[in-house]
Amino acid sequence: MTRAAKNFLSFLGRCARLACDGDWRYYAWTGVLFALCLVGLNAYAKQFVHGLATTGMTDQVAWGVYIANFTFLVGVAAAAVMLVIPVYVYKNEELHDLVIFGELLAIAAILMCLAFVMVDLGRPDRFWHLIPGIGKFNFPGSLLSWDVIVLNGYLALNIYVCAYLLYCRYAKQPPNKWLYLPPIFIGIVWAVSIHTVTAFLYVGLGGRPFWNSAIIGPRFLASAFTAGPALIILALQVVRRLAAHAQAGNGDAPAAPEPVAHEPTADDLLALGLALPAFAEVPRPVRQRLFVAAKVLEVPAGCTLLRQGAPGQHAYFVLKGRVSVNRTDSGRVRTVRTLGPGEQFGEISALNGTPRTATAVADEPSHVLRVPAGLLRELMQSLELGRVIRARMHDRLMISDRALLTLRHIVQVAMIINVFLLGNEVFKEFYTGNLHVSSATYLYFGLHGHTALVPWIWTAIACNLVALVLLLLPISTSLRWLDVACVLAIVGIWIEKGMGLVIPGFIPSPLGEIVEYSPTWNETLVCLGIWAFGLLVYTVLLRVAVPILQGRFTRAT
Amino acid sequence: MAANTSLPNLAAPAPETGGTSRRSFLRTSAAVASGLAAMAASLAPLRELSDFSSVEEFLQKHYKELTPVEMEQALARIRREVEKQYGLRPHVRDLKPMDGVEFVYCLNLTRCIGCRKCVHACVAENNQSRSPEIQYIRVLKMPNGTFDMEKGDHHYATPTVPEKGFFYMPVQCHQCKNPPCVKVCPVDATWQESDGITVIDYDWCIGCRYCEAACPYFARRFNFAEPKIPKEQINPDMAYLGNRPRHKGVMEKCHFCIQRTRVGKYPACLEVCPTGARKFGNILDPASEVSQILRHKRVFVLKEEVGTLPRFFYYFDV
Amino acid sequence: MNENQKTSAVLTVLTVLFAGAAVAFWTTAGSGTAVAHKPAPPGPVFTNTATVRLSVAELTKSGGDVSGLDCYACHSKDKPVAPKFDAAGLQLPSVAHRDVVFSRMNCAACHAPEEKVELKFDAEGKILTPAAHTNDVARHGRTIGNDHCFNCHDPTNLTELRTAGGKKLKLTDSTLLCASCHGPSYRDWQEGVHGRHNGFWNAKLGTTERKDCTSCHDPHAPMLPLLKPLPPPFRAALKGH
Repeated sequence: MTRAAKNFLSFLGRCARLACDGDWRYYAWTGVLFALCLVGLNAYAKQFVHGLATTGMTDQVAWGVYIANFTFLVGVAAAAVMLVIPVYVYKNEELHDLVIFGELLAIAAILMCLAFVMVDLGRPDRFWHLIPGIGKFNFPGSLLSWDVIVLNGYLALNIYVCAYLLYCRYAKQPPNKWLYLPPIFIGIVWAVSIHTVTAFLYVGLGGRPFWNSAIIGPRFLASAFTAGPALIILALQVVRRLAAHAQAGNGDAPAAPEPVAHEPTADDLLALGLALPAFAEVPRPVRQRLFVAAKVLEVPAGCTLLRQGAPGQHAYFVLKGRVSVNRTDSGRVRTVRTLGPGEQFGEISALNGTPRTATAVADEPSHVLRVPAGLLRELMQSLELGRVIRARMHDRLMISDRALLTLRHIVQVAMIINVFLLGNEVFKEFYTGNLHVSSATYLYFGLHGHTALVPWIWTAIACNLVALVLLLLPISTSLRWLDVACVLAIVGIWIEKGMGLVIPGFIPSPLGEIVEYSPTWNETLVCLGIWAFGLLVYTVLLRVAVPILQGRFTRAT
Repeated sequence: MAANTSLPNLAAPAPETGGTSRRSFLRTSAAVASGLAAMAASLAPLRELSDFSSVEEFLQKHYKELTPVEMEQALARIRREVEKQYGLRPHVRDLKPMDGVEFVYCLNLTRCIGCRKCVHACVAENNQSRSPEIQYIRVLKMPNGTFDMEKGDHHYATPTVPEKGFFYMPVQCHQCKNPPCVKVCPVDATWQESDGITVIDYDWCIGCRYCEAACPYFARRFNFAEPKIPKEQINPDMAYLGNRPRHKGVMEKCHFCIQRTRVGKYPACLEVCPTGARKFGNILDPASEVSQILRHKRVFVLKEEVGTLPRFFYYFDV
Repeated sequence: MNENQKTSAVLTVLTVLFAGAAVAFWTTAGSGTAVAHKPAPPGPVFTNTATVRLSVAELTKSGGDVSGLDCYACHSKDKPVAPKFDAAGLQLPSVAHRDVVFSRMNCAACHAPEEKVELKFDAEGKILTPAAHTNDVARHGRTIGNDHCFNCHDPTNLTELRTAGGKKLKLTDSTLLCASCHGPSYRDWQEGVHGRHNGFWNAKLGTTERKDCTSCHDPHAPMLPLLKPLPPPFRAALKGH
């Protein structure tokens, strides 16, 4: 037992060292984020000394941007489950590795949520009053006590699952299904619960008619499952770009003899079948296509099949012989792996359209089957073969466009529901003309001349509607438009769920008074600091997770 | 500086010579050192933190769990703090509710003339902060013919009151029988006692303001900054759950002048009301004036539909 | 620039940035932030619990100056008092009793002690009512104007009061005179529901003081005077950048 503990601790230590290491981009990014964190810390120190009078909050508007950000980020954290469900319930293999990115985002988001709550407290030093057993915990009466439990539990769950899966990948030991599947399935329910409980914080207040409505819970979930996956789509593209950042290969390999290509013969396919038993289940039509579309290359020793940095549209299967895969980093050449019969290479960049991440050179005279990307996708549709190919791809972390498009689909559906629920709310508020509509009137049209929030909410609605239209149109299958739609959705939902939910609940006050709210500079700087902190946490987590998932950071290396 | 786990372009380049590695070590440690210095400097405002809570206050248990000895220690601590801050020795005690008593407040809207004497008497009696201003009672000037509080004017400053065509409605904590504020407090810092008063343990409140969001009557107030009370205006007659001076970061609200009512006196707002519009007493005593009012007058409560069951009844005489 | 140089450059910039931030934090720490503190309002002048006026009973009880209550100091027992009326039937206030409206008012209930209160009179000696006291005319009742002195005072014995039914009452029992017409108010007053009821709600722990009618209502001008309201709550300007 202690040996396992020691191994884990050394893993953590190496992760910590890894996190401090990086190129100039990494230092610049983390350095700037750290500086912003300090600005936030300084602003908070001022608030700690002078009290919450340094914020724009008043007795009439008791919660402001801190709780608005908190509400938005709980949704982001809950949305990590939006990756878990397709992978573990519907067995979508494209997204398999990306679950970890969602859960790491959840960790960063929950830490931000906890930070926002702490800075909002009048007496943060008394937070120990919240600890059951030591303090006095009003559970199950107070929804805030529920929130404390579910948020911290969710944090623990995600930390455990990520640590366990990453550690297993690092140690190259297969994870024990019973040690991660139950927490993951619990996590699905738990993710929905954290956001529902947060919604109930508002819904449960009978004295605030703007919030005391059953639709708030479903709206929270719908908007969370829009904004969260949208954030993940953007984050994954950043990760993909950084992780596959190819450098032009330095130093061309000396001119090597060219390979000889010919159509695959039945013998070739037999050899492939022997080397790759899963190939047997490929349906006949696909196998026919192999004869047409694929080529077999006879490569002499020393022949370069792929070049790092070059574009590529083909994947390769080794039929006979041996191929080694090398990477050149800053002038140093390093052998990543050696491949034998039945193994594949070049499939990731073929499927993604990204430049080759390594150079493949034949060690000895070999036969390789060169398969175009489209045909490769057909092969992968076979259950067993697809699983095998993907399993080998996971060692190298593929963030495929198809994964992003699956997420797009999720965002699309969630946004439709979100806008539909918004329509429901607007009808309910404005059709009857009863007195409880004041807060909504204030938000959308202004009340008695007070219109501070009106431009914000209409901007949010415009963002959401434009995002919805983009997501419905096929144009958003192109990544650039998808990114635009995601940014619009995130901004729109951040406004609508943050300021657009929290502030109007307080205006007018329960005695009909209108006191508007606007965050002070100090308040804004604290928010900035916490957002920088969250991004920093996520950056550091990715800094460690990506190499592990790519198979480059293992116990052996 | 490069780790053995070399990484594609996220790795620092390998040191070629010993000189380079020393330089890279220096530049990295310079950055780290200045980062740590910046972090320490960012906490510089804490230098001004003078009157933060003492260790005893920090460790103090919840009011309901204090033994009599611990309560006495807490009261002694409060006496010391008040003496240090305001230069007078207060009379602080922990008053328990009386048996067979449930307080009810009645307010005669025919008689209220909106003079706001109750507001300021309350401020003086209960040691409320003058700057930033805290007032438990809010008087609404309502036009005749409506109870829509959005039509109420909180900031009227006519030369004389009452003004024709209006009636005046003071609102303060109703000490509801079904209090939403008590329900939502995550640390049980506010609860209702047996005589009906909803109290706050100022040394337990964490300042999350959930209760303020929950109250349908705008009854609760938060100390956004350290309260300022002129020394000569301190009321030295204090109770632990009542009008002892509070600090920044905690909630407070009307507590029916617990330091007066639990020794049998009327609350300050009632004492000063020039027209006798305010009535207070024990509803469990059938001979009290509040019992008479609930029996004979047409009383109503605010926002009855919210289900809070307030103990504050409004009525009209004529 | 190769990787190494870029990293150096970045780290150098960061070092300078952090050092600058450290200096900035340290030097701005004392300036605090714009905390919106409202200056304390002037001390409470009008929070005293005095009633609007002093009734005869209170004046007598407190041992105050009751010389003005001796009607036969000026009037003679043999000569009956005859009030004058105008064409409409409204009583003309006599010049001698020109201050009857104000004489028993507790001015300190509204005016600060330092304030000098002076009564102003016109050429004929009639009182000039200040604007703040416009309602305080000597009329007991709005419609009929029940202002005949002898509706309440006994003409044969000026030191006594007389109900409509002819019952004689001492000046200190004026409450019963009010009750003879204002039954519901008297009933409420007896229960403690009407009027000022100060002191202890718990009779076992202390005395409860009930003010009588004339402590608040001047019988010659019963409507309560208008008061100047105390200041409204502080309305913060929108806090922001």
